[in-house]
Amino acid sequence: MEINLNRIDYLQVGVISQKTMRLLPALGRKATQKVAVADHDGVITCFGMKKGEAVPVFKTLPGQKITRLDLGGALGTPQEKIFVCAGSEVKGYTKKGKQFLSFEANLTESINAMHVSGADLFVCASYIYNHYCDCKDQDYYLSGDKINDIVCLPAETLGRIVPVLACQDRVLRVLQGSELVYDIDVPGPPSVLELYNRDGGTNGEDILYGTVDGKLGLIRITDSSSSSKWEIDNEKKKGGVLCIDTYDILGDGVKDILVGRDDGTVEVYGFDSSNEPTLRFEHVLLESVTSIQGGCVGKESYDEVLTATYTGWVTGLTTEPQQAEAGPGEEVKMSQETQSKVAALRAELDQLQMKVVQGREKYQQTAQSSTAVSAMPVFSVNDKFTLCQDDASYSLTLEVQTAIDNLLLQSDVPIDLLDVDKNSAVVSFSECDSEQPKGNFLLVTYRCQANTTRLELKVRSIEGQYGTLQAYITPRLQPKTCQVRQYLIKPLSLHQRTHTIEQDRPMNTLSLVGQFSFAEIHSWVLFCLPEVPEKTPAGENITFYFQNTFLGTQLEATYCKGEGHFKSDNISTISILKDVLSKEATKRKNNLDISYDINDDSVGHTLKMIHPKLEYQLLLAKKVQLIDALKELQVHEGNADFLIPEYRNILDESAYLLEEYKKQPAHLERLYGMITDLFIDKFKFKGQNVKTKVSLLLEVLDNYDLDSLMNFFNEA
Amino acid sequence: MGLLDKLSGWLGLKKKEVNVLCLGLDNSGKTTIINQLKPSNQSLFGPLSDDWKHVSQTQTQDIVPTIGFNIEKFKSSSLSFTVFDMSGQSRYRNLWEHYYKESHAIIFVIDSGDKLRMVVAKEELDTLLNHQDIRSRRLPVLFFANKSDLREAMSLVKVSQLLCLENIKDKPWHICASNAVKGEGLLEGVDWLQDHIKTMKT
Repeated sequence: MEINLNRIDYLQVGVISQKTMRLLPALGRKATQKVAVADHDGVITCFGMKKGEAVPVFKTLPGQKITRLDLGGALGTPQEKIFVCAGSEVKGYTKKGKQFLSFEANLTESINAMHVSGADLFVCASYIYNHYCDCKDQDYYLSGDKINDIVCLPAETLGRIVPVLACQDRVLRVLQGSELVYDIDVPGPPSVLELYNRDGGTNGEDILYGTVDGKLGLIRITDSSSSSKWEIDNEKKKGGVLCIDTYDILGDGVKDILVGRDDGTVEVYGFDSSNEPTLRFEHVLLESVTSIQGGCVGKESYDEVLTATYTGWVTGLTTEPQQAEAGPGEEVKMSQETQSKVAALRAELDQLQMKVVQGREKYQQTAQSSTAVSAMPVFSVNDKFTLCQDDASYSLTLEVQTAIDNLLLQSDVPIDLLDVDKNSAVVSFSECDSEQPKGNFLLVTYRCQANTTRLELKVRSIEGQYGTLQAYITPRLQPKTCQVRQYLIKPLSLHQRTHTIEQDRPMNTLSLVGQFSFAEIHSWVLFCLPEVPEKTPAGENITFYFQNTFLGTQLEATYCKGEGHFKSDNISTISILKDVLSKEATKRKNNLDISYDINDDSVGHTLKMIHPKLEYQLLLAKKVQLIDALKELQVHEGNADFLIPEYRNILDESAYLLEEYKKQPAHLERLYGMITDLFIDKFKFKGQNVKTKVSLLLEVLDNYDLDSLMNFFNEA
Repeated sequence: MGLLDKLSGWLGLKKKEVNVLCLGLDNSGKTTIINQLKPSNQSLFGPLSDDWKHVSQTQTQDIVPTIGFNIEKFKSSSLSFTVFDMSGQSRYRNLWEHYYKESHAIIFVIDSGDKLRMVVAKEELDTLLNHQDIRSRRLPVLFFANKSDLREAMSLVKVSQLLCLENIKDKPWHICASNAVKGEGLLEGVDWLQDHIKTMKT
C-alpha cells in the first residue's frame, strides 16, 4: 500500500538535540495532541495546533542547553509529565508547565541520555550510567566507551529493571543492577535505542536500534541471551539514524516503524504478511531529523508523522489532504490559510527590516569607538567525521542553524576530495605549494547555494599520512564570522573497530617495552587509531581489534603498563605503527624498546588479499576500452546479435562499467600505492633500502600477474 | 410574488426555495452528504411548509443504498434546498434525466478512493453535461471529492484532472474535498453553491 503524506511546518524553536521532541498523550480518543519540544537555549515549548495556528500552552525561561526530553508519570497513568535534562540536572514539568522536580545528579559531565519509567530515572553522561529511584542513588556503571543512548525494558511487563546501553564501540550493554549481564554486537555504533511498539512488544523484550552508519534492527533481549529478529542494511548510503518511533501511520492495523536520519530522510517501514519490514514512504527534509513521533497534531482524526529538525523546525507529514477546494481557473489560487500566512510574514518582515536597519546604524556608530569591543555572534555547528566502511573514505558532514555562505577546507596531509551528488555547492580548488615546510596539501572552497544548511563531503585519506583537516565555516549572518573545526586524520585512518578477528592468519608482531604508564600508551594508541575511547580503559590491560576497511587486513592491539603488543597480517600497518610510536615516544623523551617479529608468509597473504581488487580494476579498464568500439559496431549493424556473448555482455553493462571506471583511476592508484608501501616496508624490516627498485615494481604491476608479482617480492 | 413575500425574502424570514439534483455513482456518498446537511434537530430550524410534512427532515442514523430516489430538504443561511437524492446504481441512472429540467443546481459526488470507476464517473458526467436540458443552461455544478479521509484517496487536484473538469467552460463549477461521515468540507461547498444560485437568479 502506498501513502501520501503532506508536509506542514508548524513552528520553529531554537537549535535542538537528538530526541528532544515528544507528543503528549491525547485527552480524548480523537482530540489533537500537544507537542513538547526543548531547545539548546533551554526553552521548553509546549504547543497545540488550532486552525493552522500554533497556540502555546507554556514556554519556560531560557537556561542551559537541553540534551534530552522524555515523558513519564506514575506507572499505569497517562505518561504526561515532561522531563528534561540540562547540564547535570534533571527537571520535571507537568503538562501545564509547572515545575515539580529539580534534581541535581551531581555528575561531573553533562547528561546526554535519559530514560524515565515511573519513579525510576536512568541517566547517562559520556561514560557513566546512573540509576535513581525517587531521586535516591541506586545503581552505577562505568562503560568502556561512550554511551549514546539508554532504554530500559518496561518494568511493568517484565517485573524487573533491565537497562540497555548503546555504546559507541558497536555494542549494546545489558545491565542488571550495577553489573553487566552480557553485551550484544551490532553492525555499527548504535546512536539510538527505542522500545518496539513503545512498550517493548508483547513480551516487553523487543528493542529497536539505529546506528550512526544508517542501519536499523530489532533485537529481543531475554534473561541471558539476545536474538536479532531483523536488520535493515544501509545500501543506499543514507545518513545515520537519529530517531525511531513505532506508530501505525499506514492504517493497516500493524504498527509501522518511523525513522529519522541525519541527512534529513524520513522513512516509514511497514510490515507485510511475512513480518519483514519494507520501506513504504520516504521524504527528505534537507536538515537532520533529530526527533520523530507518530500521532495527531494538525487536525483531529488525521494521523501524522511529526518531526523536529536540527534548526528547530517542527514539521508534520500528515495524511490530511492539503487542498480542500478548487474551481475553474483557480490552479494558482492560494488557500485562505496560505494567503493569511504570507500577509503575516510580510508584515513581520517589514517590521524586522526596519529594526535591523536601525540596529545596524547604531552598530556602525559604536564600531567607530576606540574602546568598544565587537562581539562575535555565536552559532552552533553540528559536525560529524566518520569512516564509511564500504568505500574506505571519510564522510564529513557539517550542519549550521542558518544557511552556510562558504566553507574552506585546509589540510596538511595529502587527501582526495570526492564528489557527493547531493551537494549543490560550487567547489574551487586552489593551487597549493606542498613543497614548503608546513605547506598545505589541500585548499578548497565550497560556495553554497542559497538555503544550504547542511553540507556533506567525502574525504579519502592514505594510511600512514597523518595530520589535521581544518574546516572554516562562514554562515550567512551579519556581521560575517567564521568558525574553525579541526579533524584529525590518524596514521591508521582506514582501520575500524571490530569485535573479533581471525587468529589463523600469518601475523607480524610489534612489541614495545619501556617505562611508560597505561595512560601514556593508551594516548599513543588513541593518536594512531580511530574509534578508540578517549578515556583510559579501566583495568590493567586492554585489547582492541581493528580491521582495515580497504583491504580487510587485521590488527590486534594489546597493551598494559610498560608493555604493548601489536599484531597484524599486514606489514605496512606494523611499519606505520612502529614509525609513529617511536616518534611519539621520542617526543616525550621516553625510552622504548621496540622489537618485531616478521612472518614472511604475511606478504604473500596480503598480496593475495589485494589480488581480487587489482584484477577487478584491471579487467574493468580493459572492458571500458572496448565499449566505444562495440557501440559503433552496434549502431552500424542495428543490433549486437552477431557479437560473441562476452562482448554483448559488455554492451549490456556499459553504463555501469563507465560509472565504475570514473572512480577507477583513484582506486588503481591507491592499490599501486599500497603495494609499493608493502614492498618497501617488507625490506625495511630486513634492513634494506629498496626505493630504487620501485620503478621496476611499477613495471611489473603494469603487466600484472599475481605469480610474477610474488616472485618479484621474493627475489628483490 | 407579492410584496409581502419579497419583503420577507429580503428580511430572510422566508427563504428562497431551490431544487438541487444530487448525482454520482453508487456508493459515492450522496445520501450521507445530504443526511449530514440536514439539521440534526428539527426544532432548530422550525417546521417547513406543510407540503413537506411527509419528508423526514432530521438526520437518520442508518444509511442504506437508495432505491429510485429520495426527496430531502435542508436550509443554508439564505436558501432552502430541496434535494433529489438520486440512486447511483446503474439501473436507476436513467431516472436522472427526468429531473434535469426543474433543477437549479447540481451536486455531483465522487468517491475519491475509487480509482477504478473514475472513468465511469467521467462518462456519466459527460452525458449529464451534454444532455439537452443541461447543455444550454448555466447551472452551477458543485463537485464533492468525497471520502477524502481514506488513505488511498486521490487528491482533489487529481480527481479534477481525471474528470477533465477544466474542460467545463460554460458553467460555474467548484470542487471540494469532503468527508461526509464527519461532515468536513460540506459547508464550504454549500456556501459556494448558495452564492452562485443567488447571483444566477438576480
